[in-house]
Amino acid sequence: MNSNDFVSIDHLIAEVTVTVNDAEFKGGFSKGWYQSRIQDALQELSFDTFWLKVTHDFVIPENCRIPMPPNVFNLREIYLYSGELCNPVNTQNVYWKRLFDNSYSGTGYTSKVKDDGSNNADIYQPNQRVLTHNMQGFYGPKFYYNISDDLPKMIMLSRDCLSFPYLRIRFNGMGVPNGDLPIVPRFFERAVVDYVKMKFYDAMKSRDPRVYRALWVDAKDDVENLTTGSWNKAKKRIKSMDTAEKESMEEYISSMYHK
Amino acid sequence: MTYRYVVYDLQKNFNASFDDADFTFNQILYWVQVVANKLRVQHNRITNSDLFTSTFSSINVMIDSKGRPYIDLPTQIMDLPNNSGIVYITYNVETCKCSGPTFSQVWFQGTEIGKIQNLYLDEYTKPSSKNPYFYRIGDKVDGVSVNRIYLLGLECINIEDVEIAVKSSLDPSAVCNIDDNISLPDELIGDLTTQVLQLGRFIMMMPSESINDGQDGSEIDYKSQYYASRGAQLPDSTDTTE
Repeated sequence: MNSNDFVSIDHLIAEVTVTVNDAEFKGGFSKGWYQSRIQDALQELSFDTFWLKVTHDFVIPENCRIPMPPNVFNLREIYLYSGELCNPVNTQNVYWKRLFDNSYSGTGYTSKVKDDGSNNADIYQPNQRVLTHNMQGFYGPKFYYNISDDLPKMIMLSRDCLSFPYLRIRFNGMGVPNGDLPIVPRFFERAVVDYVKMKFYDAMKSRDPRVYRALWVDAKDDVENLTTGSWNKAKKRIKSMDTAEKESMEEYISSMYHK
Repeated sequence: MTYRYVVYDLQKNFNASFDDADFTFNQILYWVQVVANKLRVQHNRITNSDLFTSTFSSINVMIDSKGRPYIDLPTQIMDLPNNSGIVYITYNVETCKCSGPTFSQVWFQGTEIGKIQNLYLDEYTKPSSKNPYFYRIGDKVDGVSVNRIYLLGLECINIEDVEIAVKSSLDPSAVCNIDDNISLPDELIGDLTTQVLQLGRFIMMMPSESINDGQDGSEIDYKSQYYASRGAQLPDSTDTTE
């Protein structure tokens, strides 16, 4: 399901603090602590559901290495394109190549299997370059990428990618950068409120275990119960398709134009 | 209920019970205030209403010798858990000339001086002019007695004054007008009277043996003096009562 409706942080804090009897921020924690937990909740939901998708456009630099933008964690799609920045004309999909590494200057690279099919004289493997030669199929531009293992994380592009000026990447995001006020979709309101409530009681357990342990157990069930828990509900909601998507998909799969 | 009414009533009661007692009006007035303070805290704990809340709309912000902004508490406050004797502190919108709505109505959160370092560790809790905190120093600063609230997060802006609401306690030594109302709910006046009478009775009933008159008139009770010694507890061998 998709929606462009969001709830504000204050809206959530107003509910949570009254529920846990800390509306004055004197019985428990500061307002910032609650904001921080809301951010945690969205981050966890992002890892669990991939709900937030972020698009970034880049000018491809000479060294074919682009730092991964902050606050993203899962690369979904990667395209080269010409035209103008943010306005693609010709596009080309880029594929992942295992063990490709163009550190540090760019166009030169190492890889266990090279992009011409050669395998660096592995005596147990047939020489793929010869095979590929025979098949006459390996020439032409090769567009591929890998993510560097060292820090900072770089998106490394093959030399042929320089034939396009721009790159578009779609990531999954982690909510918002630390310190920014989180954006909470309305699907997640119940889950976020319950999560923050649970974290409150969890933290208060060390102050008074007899009182807060029982509350924490209840709150944990509100969040994590597999059938009634708000976390699972949120996951199901955000992962479910729009009705239109679903109907289109049915039509496509069935190939029967009677729906 | 006014001080005059209650204190004269108490004085008359005392004189009826202890006709030679010399309780002065001011002494009873002082007791009334002392007991009223205690009742106010107890009552607040039960109701947590704003019956004892006072607001001060313009308290000047000062800077101490270390450059830290603070205010002097305008009155003595109830010492409640987590500084909840301070109801709120905000920027003063009317006189502070804040440069727009962002800074107006900014609300200070309570904290403790020992927790401040932790606040700086998280981007969301970090003190700033939009997210300011207060902490109390109630005893001494560099050996000087103070009753201060320090403001945290205002280091980079210039602020003239703040508005504050507190749950105040009464100063037992200062009653300006005995025709003022005692600031207690009327249903507690009964408790107040009882407790003040008990105070007076306790003083008047002090047993005379406790008074040091300079004479050693006591008799030593050897048996109880040595009661810890088992030998002394044993019956005499000559005791033939059984």
